Amino acid sequence: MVNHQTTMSNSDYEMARRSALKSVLRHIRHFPMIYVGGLIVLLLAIVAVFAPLLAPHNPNFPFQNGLTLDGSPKPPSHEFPFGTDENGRDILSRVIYGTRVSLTVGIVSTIINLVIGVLVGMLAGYYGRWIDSALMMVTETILAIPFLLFCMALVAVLGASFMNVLLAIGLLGWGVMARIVRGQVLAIKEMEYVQAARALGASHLRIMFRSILPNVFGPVIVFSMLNVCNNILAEAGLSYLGIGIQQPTASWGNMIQEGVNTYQFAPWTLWFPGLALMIAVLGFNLLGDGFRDWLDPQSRVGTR
Amino acid sequence: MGAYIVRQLASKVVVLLGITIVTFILIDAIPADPARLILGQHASEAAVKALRIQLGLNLPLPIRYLRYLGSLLHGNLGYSYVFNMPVTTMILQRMGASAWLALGCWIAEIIIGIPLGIFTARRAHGPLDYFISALALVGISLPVFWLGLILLYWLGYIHQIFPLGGIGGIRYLVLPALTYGITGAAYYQRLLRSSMLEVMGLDYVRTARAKGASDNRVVWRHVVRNALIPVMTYAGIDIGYLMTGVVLIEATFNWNGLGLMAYTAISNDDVPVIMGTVLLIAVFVVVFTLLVDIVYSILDPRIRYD
Repeated sequence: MVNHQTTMSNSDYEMARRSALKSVLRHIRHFPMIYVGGLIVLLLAIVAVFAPLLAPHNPNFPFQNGLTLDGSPKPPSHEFPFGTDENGRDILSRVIYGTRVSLTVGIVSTIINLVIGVLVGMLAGYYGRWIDSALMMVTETILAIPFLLFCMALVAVLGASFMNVLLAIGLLGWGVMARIVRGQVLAIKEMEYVQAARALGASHLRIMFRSILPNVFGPVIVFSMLNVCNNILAEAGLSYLGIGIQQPTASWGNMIQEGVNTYQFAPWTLWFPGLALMIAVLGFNLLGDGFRDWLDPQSRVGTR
Repeated sequence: MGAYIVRQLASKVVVLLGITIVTFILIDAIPADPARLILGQHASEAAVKALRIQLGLNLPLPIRYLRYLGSLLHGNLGYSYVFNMPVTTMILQRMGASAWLALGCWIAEIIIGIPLGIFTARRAHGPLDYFISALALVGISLPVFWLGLILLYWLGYIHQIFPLGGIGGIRYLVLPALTYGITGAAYYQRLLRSSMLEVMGLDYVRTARAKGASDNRVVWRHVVRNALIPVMTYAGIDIGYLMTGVVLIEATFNWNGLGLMAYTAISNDDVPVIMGTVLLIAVFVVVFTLLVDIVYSILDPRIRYD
């Protein structure tokens, strides 16, 4: 890798890179799950970024004509395509703005999980001995307490807000990631090329992050996608229980919570936020499964 | 085997200790003042102060932790601030409800997941396999509380076949169990499918086919029985988690179990109840995982823990 520049001219290098990219694209064609999942996630990202342009109404404004004469929500109509909620607010606009909350919490908390999980798993797997035992005890402790309950307790301590929900999920959800990384590192560190790097006198840090880390990347990416699903559902669950994102900020979870009051005579208050939630989670699940099949064609469908 | 169990037990004790520390620190950080909570808004400052001393709340954190640990060893989880009764009693009252719900959810998952797993493995890479596997992915992606509300609306409110929540016999159990079954069955289906595909490629299966055993006989006698081992491990850990109360299901179906109790306690800042339930739930999960490990090694003699 290091010698590419010296043995190849720049244009050779460019060509090799381009054909590598081409073969990746050719390869990916056989994995429609990546395409479908990627498309869903891309669309959601566009909706989140351009929410103010796409939303037909102000998501938090209680419209006077948003309620029927007896004060109940209005069904889907030309003016309010997804209907209105119990406060006369436009559900479509709220679903659109809710995308921001779900995607941000899901992705940012996963990045926090990723950093902690990779660090803990790498140190435990690489150094072994008491460092491994100590770090795995901590990991097992974290994993023994049911995730949602743990998040609920931490959010109760920190106070229910967007930032704290994100932090709680980010700080508590790294257990499985650490386990996966540790397992991979244990296998990889005995391989010959790692031994070679060590024989050449590479430092521990260099071996961990230059030799081992790139080879742990596959499983980490696959699991990150499933992690985003878990975290999106965790945020929605917390908000549904009233311990997450607070009104009037729209989150799919707290919209469903509100829908509980009205679903018997206005079921559309329940339908749309839930459908949005399902589609988002499905998108990341498809990406995760697709990447797994792509990286490991041996096992077409994996396990949890 | 014996040494393995002893070593596992020792590490589990450390993990349990870790859990008590985590819950204790977490709960200590809750800003609400327990003495104020017990006495109410209108109590005098002096009375609150006296109660704080009586409860030992003025002592330093490590000492309070040790006192807490000491009472735990006596089986005392403390008193609920809100309901003014022992946490142990509250937990015991609700354990049956959570266990009943757990059993229902577990059976629903297995009844849906295992037949689908066998079916898709036998038709691997065919159109029906792809169709069912896609459905399973949708099932995994469904938010459990939302699916529960939709089923409540459809089968409870519109058609009035099942009650709209609450605890009771089979009729009350069907909807929550079905909800959990639909979202959880996919894990069983995927696990069994990949496990069966792996076993189908093994030599002894080829031998069975070579000696002329029928396809049905090979699948049911030789493949399924061996492929079920990892599924059983998963099922064991799964019921351990379920037993501890599924907060979202319990909240949606107003099922008064451990999960709902913990949730209510968190909303009320009822510290001893939060600590008691979290601790008990974690202990349950740890012990169950260990048991599953041991049973697994007995079921599959190829596994040796040395």
